[in-house]
Amino acid sequence: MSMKSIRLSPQTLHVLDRFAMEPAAWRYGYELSRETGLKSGTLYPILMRLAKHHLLETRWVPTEEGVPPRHTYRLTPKGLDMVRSEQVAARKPLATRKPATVGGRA
Amino acid sequence: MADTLLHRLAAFVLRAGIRLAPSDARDWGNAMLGELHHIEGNWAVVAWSLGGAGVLAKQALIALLLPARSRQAAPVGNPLAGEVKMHKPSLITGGACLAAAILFFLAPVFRQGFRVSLAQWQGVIHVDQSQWYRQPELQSLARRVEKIHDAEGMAFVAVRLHDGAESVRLAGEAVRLEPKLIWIWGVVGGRFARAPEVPAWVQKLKQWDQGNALPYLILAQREDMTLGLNAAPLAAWTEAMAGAFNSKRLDDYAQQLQALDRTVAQRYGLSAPYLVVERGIAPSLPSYVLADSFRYAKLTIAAGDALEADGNAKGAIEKYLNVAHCVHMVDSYNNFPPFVNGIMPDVYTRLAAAYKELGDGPQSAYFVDLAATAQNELEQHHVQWRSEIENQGGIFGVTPWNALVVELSDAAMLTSAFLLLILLKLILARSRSFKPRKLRMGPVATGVGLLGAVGLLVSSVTLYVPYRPYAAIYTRFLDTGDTSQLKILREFLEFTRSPIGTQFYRFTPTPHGPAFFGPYITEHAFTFYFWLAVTVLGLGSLLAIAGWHLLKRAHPRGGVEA
Repeated sequence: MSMKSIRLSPQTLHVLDRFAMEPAAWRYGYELSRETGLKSGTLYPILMRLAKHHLLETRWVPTEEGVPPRHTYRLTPKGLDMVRSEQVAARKPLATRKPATVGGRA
Repeated sequence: MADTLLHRLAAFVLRAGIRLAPSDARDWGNAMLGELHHIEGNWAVVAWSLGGAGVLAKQALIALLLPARSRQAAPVGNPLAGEVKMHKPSLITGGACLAAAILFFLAPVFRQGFRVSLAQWQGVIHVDQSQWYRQPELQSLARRVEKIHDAEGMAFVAVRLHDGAESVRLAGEAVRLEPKLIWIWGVVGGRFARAPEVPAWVQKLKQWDQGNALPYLILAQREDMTLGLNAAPLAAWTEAMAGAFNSKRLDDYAQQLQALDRTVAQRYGLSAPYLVVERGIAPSLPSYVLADSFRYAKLTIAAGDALEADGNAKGAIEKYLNVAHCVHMVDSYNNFPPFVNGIMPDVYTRLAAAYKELGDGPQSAYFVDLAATAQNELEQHHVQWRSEIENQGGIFGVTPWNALVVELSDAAMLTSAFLLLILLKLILARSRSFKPRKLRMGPVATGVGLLGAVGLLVSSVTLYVPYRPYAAIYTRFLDTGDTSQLKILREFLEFTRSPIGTQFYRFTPTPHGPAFFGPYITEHAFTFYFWLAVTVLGLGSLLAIAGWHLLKRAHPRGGVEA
């Protein structure tokens, strides 16, 4: 499927934008939530979907004793390729694009 | 993380969500739980936890409705789309259910049952009762029969119309076209006794059907309606009632009416049984018959007592026998045994006393026996009547249960159809296309659609199955004239006319008198709560939509699912 035909919601674009800023860095869910302003109920379905399609990789990070481990995320090479293709196609920052369902196909 | 009550509550909610979630989503629940310990602020923790629990609950719902989807591998192509193309198995299942439900409408019995089930909403929707008065189905039939000058059709409509003037006009026209239908005046005249045409009709009926008490009872009702039941009786009323009491028989022309019903229903293919067999609201006997008979019986007994006091025992016996004759005559139409024939033991006792006075021992003993038998019968009748009502109206009656199932099925059908319509509109608006390949819907929408289609099919089945026996009764009546089970059908139709739940009756003891017999839920209460619920739901939806828009404006990037 051509990347141009991919329908992206503004929230997903925003999350991808944050990942693309530091592609090698592992990010925490709460950190992403604060940076994007997305609530957990919105952020996690996006992360789940990206991971399901192998665009994100995940890992568990142990923490201090008595505190549950944390889940961290970063783009896979496939995910990074897709984000870059999207950025080139749009020729503008992902975060400023309108959602397909509101302003037509992105 | 500070170990406050709110933190513990937030962790509890999230753990509950994790337990609820399908296995493939539990890691994500743990991921959200892991973050909980690093969030600052009590309310932020709660919001995080609630949001996370919502995501997990949604995953659980999807797994429940679409188990295949939750197990399937990542779809090829379009991985980031917020919506997916309509899930094929769901689409096939939903489509099959919808098609099967639509197929039900091809069955005439089902269409008939559906029409009957819709009658429950008439009183709820038309609160002003104008529809009840207008009777659009009958008016339409009236236009049809008048166009072709069908006298029987006019008579059929006349005995059912609630509009008195129109009913009387049609009855007059029907008899003008077909003089043999003159008996219809006895039916319509009893319903609208104050109509100006009635005195002339009664005179003609007296000549046409000599010995029938009906024309006299119509005249008595006319007087009652003019003066009121509590007014002192006028000579005209007394004369009319004397005529009724001295008549040989009472014929309400039920046989002729049934034959007419069958003829017209077959001629015009009337499939709605309530149009044909339900005449509970338009009885063929004048509605004041019982009250008038009781009142005149009391007056006659008093006259007999006066004669007896004057030593005229023969005159008294004549009066008492007159009462006994008339009560027997009316009794066959009497659905309330304790009412008119409640005076019979008293009448027989007086007859026994009068014959004793005349020295006729055997006759006196005969009436003593009759008085005892009548008293016994009355008591048994009372018990039976009460038991019948309790069985018909109580929770053990088959007919009210069937009526309730049919009404609930109808409500479920309408709700399912409404859901499907809303869903269709949303899908079309979202997909911006009518092409099936381009139709898109989320998993929740797919689930709701599936629920609507399955609901429509299941409710169609649950409407069809309990209604079928009643359709058979109606068909038998039309085909063979079998009226043996019409009473059951009438009861069923009466129950289905009342809104859901109002068909269950109970005796409620009152502190100062006998038990009050009435429905658990009255029709007025149902109508009130129905519209209250509609208003609350409507306002709630409006507020939710307004809130959603405001939230979207305030946080254009947040709060809306990807």
